[in-house]
Amino acid sequence: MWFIFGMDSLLNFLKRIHILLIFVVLEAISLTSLIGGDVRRNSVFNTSANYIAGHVYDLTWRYVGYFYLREENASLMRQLSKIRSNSSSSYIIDTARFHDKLDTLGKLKYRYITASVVKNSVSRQNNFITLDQGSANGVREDMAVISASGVVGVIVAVSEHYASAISLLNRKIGISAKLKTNDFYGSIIWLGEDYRKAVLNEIPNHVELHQGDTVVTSGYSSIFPPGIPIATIESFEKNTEDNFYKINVKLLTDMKCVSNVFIIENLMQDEQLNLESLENKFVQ
Amino acid sequence: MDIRAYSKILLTYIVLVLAQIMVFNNINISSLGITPLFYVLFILVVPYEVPLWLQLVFGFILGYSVDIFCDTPGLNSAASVVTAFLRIKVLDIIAPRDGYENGTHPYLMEMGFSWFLSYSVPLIVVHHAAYFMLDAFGFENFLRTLLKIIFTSICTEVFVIFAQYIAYRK
Repeated sequence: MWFIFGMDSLLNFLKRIHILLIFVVLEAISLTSLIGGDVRRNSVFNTSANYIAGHVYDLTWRYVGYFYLREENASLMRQLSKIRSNSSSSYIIDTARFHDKLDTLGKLKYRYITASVVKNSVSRQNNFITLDQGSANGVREDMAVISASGVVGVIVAVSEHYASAISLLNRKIGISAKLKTNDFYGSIIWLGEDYRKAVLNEIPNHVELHQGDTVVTSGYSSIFPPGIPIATIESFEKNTEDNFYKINVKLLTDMKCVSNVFIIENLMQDEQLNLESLENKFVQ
Repeated sequence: MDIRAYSKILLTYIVLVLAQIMVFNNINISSLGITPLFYVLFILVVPYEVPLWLQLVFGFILGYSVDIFCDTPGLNSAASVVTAFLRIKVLDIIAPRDGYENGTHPYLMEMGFSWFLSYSVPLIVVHHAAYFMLDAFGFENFLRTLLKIIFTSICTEVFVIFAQYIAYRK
């Protein structure tokens, strides 16, 4: 008889705490997916690159996008004027000597794909951006994303027609950067505070800095081409503890109103990564 | 609770999730980055008669739907489940002496302004506190997180009250 009695009181007990039990289970599911939220592992299924979310954001952006046209146009005009002033029509021929064009001598390393932002956020600690170009248009993981004014992020997940990029405003990435003036390199990291500001680490104390100096991509990673502007130096102070500067920078891309971007494909990325993976052999 | 009541819940859910991702996620006030989490209104207006366990499941589904659109697996759902759980307790505490009458709803227009404030403010604050503390994941920058909790709660509360006047006027 005792086990029937025991069963009964167990059921009673469960009945009394079943709400608490469901609460704990649901909370556990949420927290495990939050903590196990590795950027790559739950790509495509859980990210907004998935089909429905992509379409809903496409629809939204069709209307919301108009609000950003003014800033976007101004930035494109600046870019255009820069290109115009560099184009051949802006130069006069002042020599009779024949010049080879660069594209017959050089080998193409970076290819650009244009894309529109369909979803963006700046208010969280780990922000992502969804773009309207996917694997069907040749977008792959680990491609760089830039706007007309500077670095935006890196592609982390791709579906057929959409791509998800980890934003510069994400505490999980640092971007290899260098000072434009003297090539000392460090990394740009966002601290999760103001969406216009970040810090530049690892610049040694003996380097001469000036307020307003431009920070550009270093080109040491296989993702970004060298020399793409990221930020300008806003303030800096010497840190006596570890002999590195503490530098605050102002990001050049206004992440809040970025709407048209370029995705950059490095055609020699695989070659570089394969070569670099050989380095591990010599370490062991 | 009949099928009509449940289809009304479903409609509210769809409207609020779409409003959150298409409208409110585009709002971003000041450099603090204040984005009202308006979808929490769904948890507030679930009828009293819905079984308690289902209220929790509703909270989870709501949060997870928003998560899918925001690339934040588990963040909104964790905050929403906490809020749905707390709502059960809050409704218990502020219940009238004879319990809630059949056919009444936890709406501002039916229950009165002061009742609705004492009901919605703690729930919204707890939801936002859970959300921003899980997002920051720790206590560094605590002052900033605290400011975000306070100002976003105020912002959400204002929108929630406005929405009550617009959607449930008699």
